[in-house]
Amino acid sequence: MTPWAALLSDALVGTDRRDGLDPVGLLDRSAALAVVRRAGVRPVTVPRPAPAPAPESSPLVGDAPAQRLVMLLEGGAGFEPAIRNALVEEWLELVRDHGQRVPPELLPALLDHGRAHGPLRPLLAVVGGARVHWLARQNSEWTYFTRQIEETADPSAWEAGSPAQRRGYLAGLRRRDPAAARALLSDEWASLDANERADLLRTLSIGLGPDDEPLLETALDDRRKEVRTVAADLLTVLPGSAYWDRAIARARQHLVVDGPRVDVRPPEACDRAMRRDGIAPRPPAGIGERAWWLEEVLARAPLSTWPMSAEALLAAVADSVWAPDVYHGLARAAATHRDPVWAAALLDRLDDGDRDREIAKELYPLLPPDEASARAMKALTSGAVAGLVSLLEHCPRPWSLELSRRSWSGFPTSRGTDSWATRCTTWPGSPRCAFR
Amino acid sequence: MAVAWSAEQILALAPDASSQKAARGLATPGPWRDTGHSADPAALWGYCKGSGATPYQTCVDLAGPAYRCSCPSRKFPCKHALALMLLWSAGSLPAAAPPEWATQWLDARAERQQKARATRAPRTADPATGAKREKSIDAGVRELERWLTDQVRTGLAAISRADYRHFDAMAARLVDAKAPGLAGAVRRLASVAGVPERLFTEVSLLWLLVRAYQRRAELPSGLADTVRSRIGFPVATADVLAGPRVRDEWAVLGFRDEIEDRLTVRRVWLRGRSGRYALVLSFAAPGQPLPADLVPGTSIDASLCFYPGARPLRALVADRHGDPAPLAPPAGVSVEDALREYAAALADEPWLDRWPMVLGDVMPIEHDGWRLADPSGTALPLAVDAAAFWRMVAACGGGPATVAGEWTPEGFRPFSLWAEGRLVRP
Repeated sequence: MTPWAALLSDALVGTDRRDGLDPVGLLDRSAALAVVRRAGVRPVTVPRPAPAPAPESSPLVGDAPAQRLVMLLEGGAGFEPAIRNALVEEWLELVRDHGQRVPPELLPALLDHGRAHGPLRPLLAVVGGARVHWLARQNSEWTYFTRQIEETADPSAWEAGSPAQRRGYLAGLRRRDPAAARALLSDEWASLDANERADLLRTLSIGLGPDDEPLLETALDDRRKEVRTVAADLLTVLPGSAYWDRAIARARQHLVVDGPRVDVRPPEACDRAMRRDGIAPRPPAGIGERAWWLEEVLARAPLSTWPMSAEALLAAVADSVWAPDVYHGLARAAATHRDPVWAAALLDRLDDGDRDREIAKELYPLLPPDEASARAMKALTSGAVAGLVSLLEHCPRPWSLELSRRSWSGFPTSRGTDSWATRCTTWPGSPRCAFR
Repeated sequence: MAVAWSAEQILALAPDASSQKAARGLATPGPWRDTGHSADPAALWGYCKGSGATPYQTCVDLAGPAYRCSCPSRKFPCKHALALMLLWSAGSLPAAAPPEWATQWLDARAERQQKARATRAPRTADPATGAKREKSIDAGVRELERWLTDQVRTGLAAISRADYRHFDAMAARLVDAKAPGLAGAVRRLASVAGVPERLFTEVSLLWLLVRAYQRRAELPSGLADTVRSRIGFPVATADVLAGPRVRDEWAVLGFRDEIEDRLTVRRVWLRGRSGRYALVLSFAAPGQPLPADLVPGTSIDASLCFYPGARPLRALVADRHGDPAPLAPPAGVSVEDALREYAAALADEPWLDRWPMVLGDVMPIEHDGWRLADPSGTALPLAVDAAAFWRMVAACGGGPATVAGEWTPEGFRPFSLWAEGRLVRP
């Protein structure tokens, strides 16, 4: 026993129970030893890895933007979580657009944040630089981040990797050599389980071409609905395919153009052929079966189906009782094919119902920025408030200075408007301000 | 117009972490209207929407800084004042002339200050008071001596299970005996009572202080000063400022805030080009602001006056000879050298339980706990929470860093880290 341990033992038990021991003498000795022990404290020796800082190429963001992120991450009181997430996302987009990099000490908070908020991850993977990938491997709390798809050229990822790694390999191969990737997928197709079939088939969206049609047609007959849906969605955007011809013929059957007149004849049934082409037989709650089938049929046909302008076609069906369903179907087609002209014409027609708003959300981003702002400015003047808020919410960011000013002064501060008020470029809390 | 302060500087004024958080939440223009700032008088103002119908009037006098807000908060500065300053820091307040209500307060404040300056008379020490204090402290030390022997007589195992009241009773008697330093030391025993080894160490060191006081006539004068100040004899600021001035280019290494004896204590650590360390202490009642004029990551050309002691560390800034300049990453030493320095300091001043270290070329490592290791693998345990540890790991990114912090019985507490040429607060 060391002298210190002996003293400690006596002190803990009490000198009263150690016959003849003088507490003063004990304390005098321990006082000297306590200082000696403190002065003589020995460090431990640990294995230290060789310093291996990963090289970074992009510059760090400045102090002001960094401080803005800290405010967003910590200043919970001011924001609802959804708004905060949107702003953090916007902040990360801005960093990416400026070709900059997040200060490394903020990465742990962002990795914690990204666990619950998926959309941040791909952004973080870019603006976190090499550091974020390195860091995520150091703490088991962040393995979610390392597991996400990373395109890789390492064939062992395909042979022995997790489903996500296999997808990463296939996506990388598809980008380099589409035919080889398709051949690899076709070879293994029969032995894949249903989840993996849907997952891997999706990689064909990279460099999609006519040669992919046979595999996609096969997939339309798959046992699993998820696989069929992926196949139908890809064929919908594959010009010149047999699927494309079937969709055009079907659409023309239910929206019959006769000179300037357009006759709406919604399907009476959802037959086998329609179901094979990915048309969902069961409508969502609140929509009638025929209305839904009509929407689905129109949504899957290319806009070139129609021999007249968007304006003319929409005007011609305006009086039909099926008009809203025609709009919904065509609007979805416009969103799929990213057609700004059809998008603009349809936005003029869409109403303020829940489904209209949901579909409109996909169309606003297609508008040229000036056009979206012009619409918002018009709505601000006319004062149709309910529609206005949704329009502003869907206005592509960043808002123009004029629109920001107009909407900022047009609305007094109140809880309900916070969500879109934060998108104003003139709002000093906006991440954008810090980057100016 | 003064350069707007950094957000970090402003948040350092906050009385506590929850105020910082609340202020950040309010630092958006949403709840504010009619805001502005002016250069002369240097002030900020605005109306902030609160929970009631009437918005709060918030005004900050940047010269103090001093704060006024019509909100009912007893924190000082309140979250509204902090938020207003953050908005200013972000460049979000328009320049304007202060409104009537702000001017009134600013003028009244200026007048009060002038009056206070005019009436402030130098305090002179009364020798009779000193003698009385010494007598009272003598009695207190004797009582503590008895108390400590009693603890060892009955066994520390018993008091390691006692709750804080056991210590508070003794501490209260020491306060009455005008020995606040001893009272604080006894109160702090409660926080280590659960760890017998730590408790015994602290009891032993307290005993050493009692013994040193009783034999103070035999001690060298520096050590006698240390003993007196540890016990709680007051040292007049004027006496310190009358002492020799040490001019140097002082690097502000960082600071820590802790709650001690119902006060918030801010410890700012400085290091001169000479290698000499200095500690600038400030105290504030809960809810009161702390000074934020020494900014980590800067250096100042200043003259310091040190409190007397065997190893003078605590100092006052007597004179500044220029504006703060940005600080290049300071030079650090190995773990062994830093420990050797600490041992040497302990030889002068055996009660030092926080000692500044600037460790060079170290890496945060997870190995049987969190460590800070130098290239030889020699490591100190880190006393940090998980968030701070991972911020350090992220900032280093597998590379080495220079880390400044305090070495304490609990471990190394970092307050500044330089990696890749940048200063990061863990």
